[in-house]
Amino acid sequence: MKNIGVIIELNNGKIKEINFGMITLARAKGRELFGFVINADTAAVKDELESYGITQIVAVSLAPDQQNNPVVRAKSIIKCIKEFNICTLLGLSTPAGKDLLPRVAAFLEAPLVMDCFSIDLKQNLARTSRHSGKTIATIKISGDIVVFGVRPKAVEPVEAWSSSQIVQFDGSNIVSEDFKLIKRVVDDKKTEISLAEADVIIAGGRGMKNGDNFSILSKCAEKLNGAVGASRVAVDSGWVPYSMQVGLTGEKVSPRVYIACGISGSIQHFAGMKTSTLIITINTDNNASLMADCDYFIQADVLEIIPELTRHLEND
Amino acid sequence: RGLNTPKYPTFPDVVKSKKKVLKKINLEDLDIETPKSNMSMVRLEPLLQERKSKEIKGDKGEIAREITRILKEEAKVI
Repeated sequence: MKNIGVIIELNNGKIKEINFGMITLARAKGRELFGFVINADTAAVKDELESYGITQIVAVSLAPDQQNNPVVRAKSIIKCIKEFNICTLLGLSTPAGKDLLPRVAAFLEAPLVMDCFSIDLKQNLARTSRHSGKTIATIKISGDIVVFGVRPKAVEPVEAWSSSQIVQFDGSNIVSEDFKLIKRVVDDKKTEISLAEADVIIAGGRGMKNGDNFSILSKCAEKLNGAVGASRVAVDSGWVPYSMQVGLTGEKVSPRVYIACGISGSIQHFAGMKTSTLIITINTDNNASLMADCDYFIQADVLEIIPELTRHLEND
Repeated sequence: RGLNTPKYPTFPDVVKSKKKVLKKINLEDLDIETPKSNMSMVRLEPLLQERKSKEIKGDKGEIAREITRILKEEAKVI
């Protein structure tokens, strides 16, 4: 029985919007679609999962002190794959997905393609970005089990209701002897939308001059219900944390709007945001490469323009 | 220190490299099990983007107004 499984990502018990595009992609006529939900109230999310076509919801329970251990999570998914005869596994190419999918694939010696923006499940063909975003590679994988990491927001979610049942899977005895979580720091203040999920991203680079000025971007992002990102320069300079980095070694984003503030647009940064629908660049340097590779450019000081934009959005 | 500035070898390094041994290893000698699964690149094509960048000019008020308009009417995010 060739079953397809998707790993559902939640935040505080709520399913992240980015899952629905992945579930849309994973649907295949006549095939069971399993959704793995780890340590969450599955009854509360059943309706949402059904509306996108999940046919079997697997409520995976891990011991509370093990639930954040990526090795334990991976082991539970591997057990589920065997238990439910999963031959195709999909997850999101998010920081959580990057910690989980490679572990699962490596353990099963299964081929893995991360950051896919389209997948043909009949032929196990995936399209993904290569060469710092300059090329699109079509990769074919084969094996008893294949694993794909889907780029968030790459696929437009389409509803397709299917009735579903909840199956319990007890993973409470799964531990990891050689990989133990020692400390976990949670930023409770963090209520901002994540880079992967935001429709609007305002990102700052060298032109922001210091870390304090990023608050200008935060205020503007708030008005637009967007997220704040950064180039590697800003992260390496210690102005903002690495979690905000957009680029080849940071997050790869596909928002509807990307506003680049004081970012020159190196190939590595561009690779992380080139799939944005609309790119607006603000820079004092007219020769910055992003000024030519965007949809709208403004030659001005971002520290003047963004506060003005925030004022305009307030009065609107 | 720039991100994209190459690290050039020094002259002594270049001279030393001539004496270094090039070790050759055959795939068979590595004794790797043939994996049961497979991955192959079927096609590689360039990602061509045709963005025609348009300038937004004016004083900061005019620029802010135009950005707001674009966000509202073109991108439809407001």
